[in-house]
Order: sequence, then C-alpha cells, then structure tokens
Amino acid sequence: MNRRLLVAAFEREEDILGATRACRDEGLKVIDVWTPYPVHGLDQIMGMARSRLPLVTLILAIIGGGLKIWFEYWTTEFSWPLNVGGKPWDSLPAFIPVTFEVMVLTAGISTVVAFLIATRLWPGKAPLTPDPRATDDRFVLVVEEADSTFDVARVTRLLEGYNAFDIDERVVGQGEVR
Amino acid sequence: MAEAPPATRQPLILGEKSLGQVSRDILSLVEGGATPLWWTAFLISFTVLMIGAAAITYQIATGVGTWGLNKTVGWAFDITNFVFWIGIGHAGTLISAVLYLLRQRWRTSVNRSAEAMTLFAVLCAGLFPVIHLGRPWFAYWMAPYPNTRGSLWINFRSPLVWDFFAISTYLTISFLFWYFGMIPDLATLATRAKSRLRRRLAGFLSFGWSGSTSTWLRYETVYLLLAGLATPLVVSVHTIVSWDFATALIPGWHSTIFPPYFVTGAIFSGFAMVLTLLLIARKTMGLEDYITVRHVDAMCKILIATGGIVGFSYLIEVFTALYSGDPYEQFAVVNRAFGPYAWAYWLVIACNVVAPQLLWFKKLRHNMLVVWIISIFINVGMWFERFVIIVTSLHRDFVPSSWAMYRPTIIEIATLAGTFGLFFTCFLLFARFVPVIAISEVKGVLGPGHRHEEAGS
Amino acid sequence: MRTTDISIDRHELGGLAPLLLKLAGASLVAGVAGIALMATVGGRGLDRILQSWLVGFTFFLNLSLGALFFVLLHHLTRAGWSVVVRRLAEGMAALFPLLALLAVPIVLWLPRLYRWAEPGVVVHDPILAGKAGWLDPTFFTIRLGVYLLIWSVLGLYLFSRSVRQDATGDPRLTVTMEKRSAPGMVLFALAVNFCAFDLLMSLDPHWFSTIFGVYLFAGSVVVFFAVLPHLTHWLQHHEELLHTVTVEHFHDMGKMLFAFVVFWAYIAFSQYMLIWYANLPEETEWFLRRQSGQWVWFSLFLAIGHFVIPFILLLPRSSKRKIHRLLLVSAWMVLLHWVDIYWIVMPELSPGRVPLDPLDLFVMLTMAGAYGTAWVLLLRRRSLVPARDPRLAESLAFENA
Repeated sequence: MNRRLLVAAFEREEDILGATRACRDEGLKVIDVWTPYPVHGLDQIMGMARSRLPLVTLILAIIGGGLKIWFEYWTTEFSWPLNVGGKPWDSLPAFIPVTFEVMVLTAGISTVVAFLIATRLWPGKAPLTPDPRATDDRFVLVVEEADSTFDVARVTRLLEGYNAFDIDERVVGQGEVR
Repeated sequence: MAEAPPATRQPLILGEKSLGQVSRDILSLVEGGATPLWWTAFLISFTVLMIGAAAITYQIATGVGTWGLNKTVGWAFDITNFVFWIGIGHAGTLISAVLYLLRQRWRTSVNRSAEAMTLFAVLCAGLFPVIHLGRPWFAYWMAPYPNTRGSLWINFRSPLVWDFFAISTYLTISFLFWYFGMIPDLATLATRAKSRLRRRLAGFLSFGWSGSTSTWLRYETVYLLLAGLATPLVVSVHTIVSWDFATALIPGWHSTIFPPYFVTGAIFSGFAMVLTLLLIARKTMGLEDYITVRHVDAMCKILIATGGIVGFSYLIEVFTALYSGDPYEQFAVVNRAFGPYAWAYWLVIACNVVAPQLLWFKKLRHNMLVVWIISIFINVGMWFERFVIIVTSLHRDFVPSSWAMYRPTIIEIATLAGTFGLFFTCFLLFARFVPVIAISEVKGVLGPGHRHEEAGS
Repeated sequence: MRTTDISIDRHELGGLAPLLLKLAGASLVAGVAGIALMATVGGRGLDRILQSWLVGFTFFLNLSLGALFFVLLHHLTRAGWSVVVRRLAEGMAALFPLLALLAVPIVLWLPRLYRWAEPGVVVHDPILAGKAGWLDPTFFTIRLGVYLLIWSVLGLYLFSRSVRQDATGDPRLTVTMEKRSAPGMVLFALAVNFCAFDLLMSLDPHWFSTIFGVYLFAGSVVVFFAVLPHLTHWLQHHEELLHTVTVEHFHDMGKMLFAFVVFWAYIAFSQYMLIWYANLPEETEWFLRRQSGQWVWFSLFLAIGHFVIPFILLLPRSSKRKIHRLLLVSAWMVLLHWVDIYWIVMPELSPGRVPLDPLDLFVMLTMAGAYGTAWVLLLRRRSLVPARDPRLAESLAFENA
C-alpha cells in the first residue's frame, strides 16, 4: 500500500526543533527527522523512549566475564593443573585482569552488533533517506498524510513559518521515504 | 582565556562556519587529492618503514641474537618500544572516551585523529612482543584453544598472557570506537562524492547511514556505552603493562604505585604525540579554525597535570626506596641516578619534569612552535623513561657478578625507526582518505548563532 | 535551556542554624560523656581511646581533604555544574584549623600509637634505626603541622575569596582562584601523600607501599561525595536550596561517587594484587595481619561493601537520579569509609581481634559534634551558594545530556 508523505527541508537547528514540536502539537504523524548531527532534545520532542541497548551491554558483559572466569579456573585447576611459580590453584587476583578484558571485549562487540541489528544497518545497505543531503547540511522532516483531514496547504504554511524550503509531496511504498 | 569574563564559554570553532562549510572544509582534504607535500612525507615514511621491514626480516631469519641482549639484560629495546607505543595510543582513547564522559566538548576537533593514532600506535606496539617470540609464526599459541598437546592451556597467572588479552582487546575496541564514530561522516563523504568509485565505496562503508533521529538516538547511546567501556579499558591496558614489571621482584620494578603511574605516563606521552602531529596537521592542512589555540591550550594543561603526576611518582619512588630500609631498593635508585645510565635518567628528568613546567606560562602555551618543541622533548623523555626503568633495574640486580651493560644494535634501532615509518605511513594514509575531524560532532558544537538557544523562559 | 528563579530560596542557614548547633552540641556532649564513661566505668585505657581517636580524626580529615580536592578541581577544570554545591564544600575545606586542634592528642601521646616513637624499641630494631631520621617524633610533629598549615591556607583562601565574591560580585576573583588552584593542587597532592605515609603507613614502620597515599586519597574523595548528597538533600528538605539544586546535580554527585568508588577499588586491587603476587615477606606482613583471625571477615566485608555493593547499586542511571536511592548508597559509603580507616589503623594495634567498641562510636560523635559546630558557625551568616559566581547560571541550568 502506498503512503503520501510531505517532506520539508530546513537549514537551522532551531527551525527543525520548532517545526517538529509544532507538528507533534498538531497531532500530525511525524515519520522521522533526518539531521546531519544529533540534535539535542529532538528525541524528547518526538516522544522516543530511551534506548534499551545498555541492557545488551550489561548482559553480555556478565556472560562474557562469567564464562571467562569459569574457563580460567577450569583450565588452571581442573583440566591440566600446572604449578607455576608456586601460585595457589585458586589465584583469583591473577585471574581478574584477563576476565576484565574479555568482559569489555564481549560487551563492546555485542553492543555494536546489537546496534546494527536494532537500526537495521549493514555494510552496503542503501540509505533509507528522504534527502541524502540530510547527512551534509540539511535537516529534513517527513510527515505522513495519514487521513483525509490532512490539509496540505495548512501544514505547508505551518512549516514555512519555520523557514522550511523544498517542501515536496511524495507517494511512496510502505517502508520507503523516497 | 583570562581576558574574557569567566562566565562566557568561548566558541570552539572559529570563523562562523555553516554546516555545509564544515563538510567542505574537512572533506576538502579527502576530495582535493594528494599534495606534493603529502607525497614527500609519504615516500619518506614508507622508505623508513621498508628499512624497518628489512631489519625485522633479517632478525626473524637469523634469530633474536641479532639484538644486544645478554643473560642479564634479557629485556630492553623491544619492551621499551612496546611500552612507548602503547603509551602513545592512550591519548586517543582518553580524548575520545574519557573527555567525552567528562563533557569536554573541545575534544570534537581532535578525537578522530587521536583515535587513529591509537590504532596505529597499538599496531606498532603489538609488533614487538611478536618479534621477540623469536618464532613469530607460533604467536597463536598465546590464545587458549583446544590443542593436541593434551590441551595444554596457557598460564592465566602470567602477566604476559594478560598483556596479550589486553592489547588485542584494546586494538579491537579502539577500532570499533573509531569506526563507529566515523559512520556518519562516511555517509557525508558518500553524499558529497563526485566520483562513482568514492560514492560506492564510502556508501558501502557507511552501512546505509541516513541520519534519522531514531538512529541518532541509539547511536548516541552506543557511543556513550563504548566510551564507558573504553575508559576502564584504557586504564586497564597500561595497568597490565605496568604489571609486566611490577609483579616481578626486581628492585625498581616491584612498586605498588606502578599502575596509576604508568597510566598517567602513557597519557602524558600520548598527548605529547597528539600535539606533535596535530600542530603539523593544522598548519599544513589549513585546519586552524578547527584546531584552535584553545585546543592546544587545553592539551598543554593536560600535559602539565599528567606530567606533574609523573614527576610526583618519581619522587614517591625515590622517597619510598630510601624509606623502605631495603638495601636493594636503595641501590636501584642510586644506580639509576648515578650509575652508568645516569645520563639517561637525568635526560628523563629534564624532558619530563623540567620541560613541561614552561607550559605554566600562557604566553608559551600560545606559541605553537614552543609547544611543538616541548612536545618533542616529552616524546623523547617518555621513551627514555621506559628505557631507564627497564634497563637500569636489570643490568645491576642482586648479584654483582652477573652485572652487565646493554647497548642496542643497529638492527634494533632500525626496527624502532621502522615502527615510526609504519606509524607515519598509516597516519598519512588516514589523513588522505578519511575525514580527519569528526564532521558530525563538530557540527554539533558550532556555537551560538547556529545552536538553538531558547529565548527568555 | 532551563532557567530557574532562585530568588524564592533563602540560601541561608538562618533559622536552621540554632537547630543544627543544638544537634551538633548534643553530639559533642554525648560523645565526650561517652568517652569519659568508657574511660572510668568501662575501664578503657588511654591507648584504646587514642586508637579510636586516630580513626575518627582520619575520617574527618579525609572528609575535609575530599572537600578541598573538590573545590580545587572545580576551579582547575572551570566546572559548570558544581557551582551550586561548592559553598557547602568550601565550608568543609576551611575546617583544617579545627582538625589541627583535634590532632593534638595524637601528637601528645605519640609513642602510644607509633612503635617507632619509643626509643627503647628503635634501639633493638636495625630497620627502625635506619629510619630514625625520618620517623622522629619532633620531625613528625613538624611535618604534620606543615601539612595542616598547607591545607588550612588553601581552604581558608578559597573560602574567603568565594565569600568576598558574594559581596563584590567581581568575576576577577574567579580567575584568581583558578590561577591559584593549580599550584594549590600540587601542594595538596604532596601533603596528602606524605601525610598518609606518616599518619597511617608508619603505624607499621617496617612496611612500605608507594601507592599508599593514593589509596587514602581515593577514600577521601569517596567519603566527600558520600556526605555531600546528604548535606545537600537535608538543606533542600528544609527549603533552603529547594530550587537551586536539582536532580541533575544529584545525578552528577552520584556519578562522581561511582567513579571514585571504582577508582578506590582499582587502587586497592593494584596494591593487593602486586603484594600478593610478589609475595615478599616484608610486604605481605601488612596484608597477612588483615587476613588473620577475625580480621579476615572484616577485610572481606570491606572489599564487598566498599566496592561490589556500591558498584552494583550505583550502576543503573536511575539509582543516581532517584534521590532516596542515592542517599541510601551514600549513607552506606560513609559507613564503609569509616570501616576502611578502621581496617587500616586497627589491625596494627590489635592483631587478630576486631576491637569494635562503643568507644569508637563516642569518639565519632565527639568529632562529628565539633566538626558540625564549626561548619555551622562558619556558614551561619553566609549564603549557601556562591550567589554571584559568574557560572552560577550555567550550573542552575545544567542538564545531563
């Protein structure tokens, strides 16, 4: 099923913040906002929840560190015990450094992998963007014309109040913006 | 800056740039093609790298006997270089992770290149232990994997094994952090690319980055998480390096202050190297508006602080050795200061303790040439610091009949030079093909006039 | 950007001062009475009282050291967020003259605490004879005086300039304080380190550890950031600082507490691991004493209580932003800092047995009474925030991104 989208570009941070807030206040369906750098406060205006990725980091850190400390005990105390330098079998202080490193390694890698999965990014993916210049010098707002009450002229005026330019109406497939 | 009222925060980027201007300025280095200066520097670095490669090939073919080591001094040049390079790497992570957590926004202009430096420095560092194995093709024996030798596991109680894990983790996480921070900029590069190849390549490597707010939200979370992981990691890495020495019983090595002392020393030397490189880069690449006097000033202050802690540690070491009542500890200190390697010791004091004191004066901090010269002094001083710690403690230990002297051979010197070649070759390639400044981050700190300031309320 | 109208806050202790003075006075009286009771009826000797006294003294010394470090660091880094709570810290950092007074009993009865101060012991101990030049009662007293003088000068200087700014509003004072803080930090660090060596490390005059000063420093910052949220919250609760300090400031205090808890653990582990690994008799004796008899459990309690528990509790973002949770953890850390000091001091004087005693509590009450009284008297007629600090507005509007 096709969707009708209204795409507007902006030049300044305060305009995009104002325009997004105005659209949200009007009850319009803001698909997303594309910006060249993270704009502080935009996520709150759009009512986005905090990311749950820290949970992945924490869980993988515990699993990675836990498995490693088990492995160190198992290799040095059970699998093939070797007396090196007269150190006791239970050399916990000496096991901590490697455990820590492995914990950081698993946590770091898994966080980035989880990020790529959550944001559906992968090497070679074609960017899902209404305007590629959003990665350069433009802020781009996309509003969906969700129902028949959507008044294009009125919304255009609203956006122009925030110095919008290149306002463009598009008909695109589901999950597309361009 | 003291002239300005303390309430106002100075703009971080000079020259009232627009967003497009920032992309143009920074990417012009990538898009503009190589200058003759770049080619000259590259060819020199590459030649030095080849000299190093020849030296390494020769010593692997012949054996570690090509080095100046003897039965008493079994560790010298290679480990000095190893610690030196690892230390250089620490400033990168410090700038990108620790200063991020401390909300020091001036870092945005320098973090990308500092992170790249970290990567290349760690690569250089990693070479030395591998070469020192003598049979580097067995380097994989350091990894614990099930094997046919009855599954003989590695010794997890050995600081050298800790080192292996620390360095490889550090390299991996530094790479992730560096690359992750670069994804938005690669997308910018792809958007602006004129040639098809560059657009395709940068587009492929940018993972389909679009800059939507939902992605940015997660991106910033992950960046914070990586910073939170990298901060203890960077501390742990040099801590573990210090434990290579401090867990031993050798007087002058076995000292409980080694972990924080080595970590600070690493940051100290790393910042010196960052300054050495960036002062050249800002001049030759025309980045004066991005890497401003203020950035240099802030880094000089970090040099004073970390240099102060390093000097403090020297003092505590000497004091505690004298206080301890242990004749061996006392001898180690006296031998350092007045023994056959005294010249190196006093060179260290001059470079690391005396020279940075000049940075207390603002006039000198704002004189780029002076700062650059001091940074070179610190680089030299920190290399010799490791040399002094390692060699003076070993060459005269408990039994006077085994005392010996150590002198590096030409092969060892060529290897060290080769790592400098590797480092600079990598850095030049980086400066040529990748945005040297984090574009998206700089755009976020452009300052008033661009930033959103809600009036009144 | 959030802006706040702070004019409705009173920012002065005002009517609270008498109440606080009464509380502190009661604590002082109860403490002194308790000590007297324990000495007479309880039969505790002077030695035992002095041991508790050293623990209590170190605890409050560390609190002031942490505060002084915080103020110095604030100026050095030109921090924005911390302006609103700086005056509370300045008050604590200006109390070193009082601490000098509290140090008198230690200096008076030096040989009862320190083996090396007894001439009879030193004669028969070649190691101590070798150290006699440094570990000399007169020299020790002079050194302790010098440390306290350095801190007093620094603390009072920063306090007085900050208070002067309340009156004049001169932004140049901020610049001067920033400039003076750099050399101030150098002196501070040297004094803290050598004070730790003298006051605590020399309790076992044979033992040495180069990191010891850093260990004590880490603890001092922990206790400061554990006390600060309580002080702030208490004043806020009484509507003195209600709007000035927000959840964002508590969040930052929580982060600092977390950071220094981890730093403490790092230093503590480095010290333990290296001595454990090298296993040299002259070094391990110190830890062995803490792993023998009842001290095993005490040591484990310290390791878990001072690191594992606060680490887990402070890790989630919410526990730094939900103020009651933060207060719970920081109260725990105040207790654990006392445990830490106790663990450093007592095994040297009471090997094998943890000599917990009501006396310890009475000494702490006495010290807290004296310390609290001095703090209130110092701040009674002053503004509780640096009202005309040029960065106050930034601090008020501060938000954790």
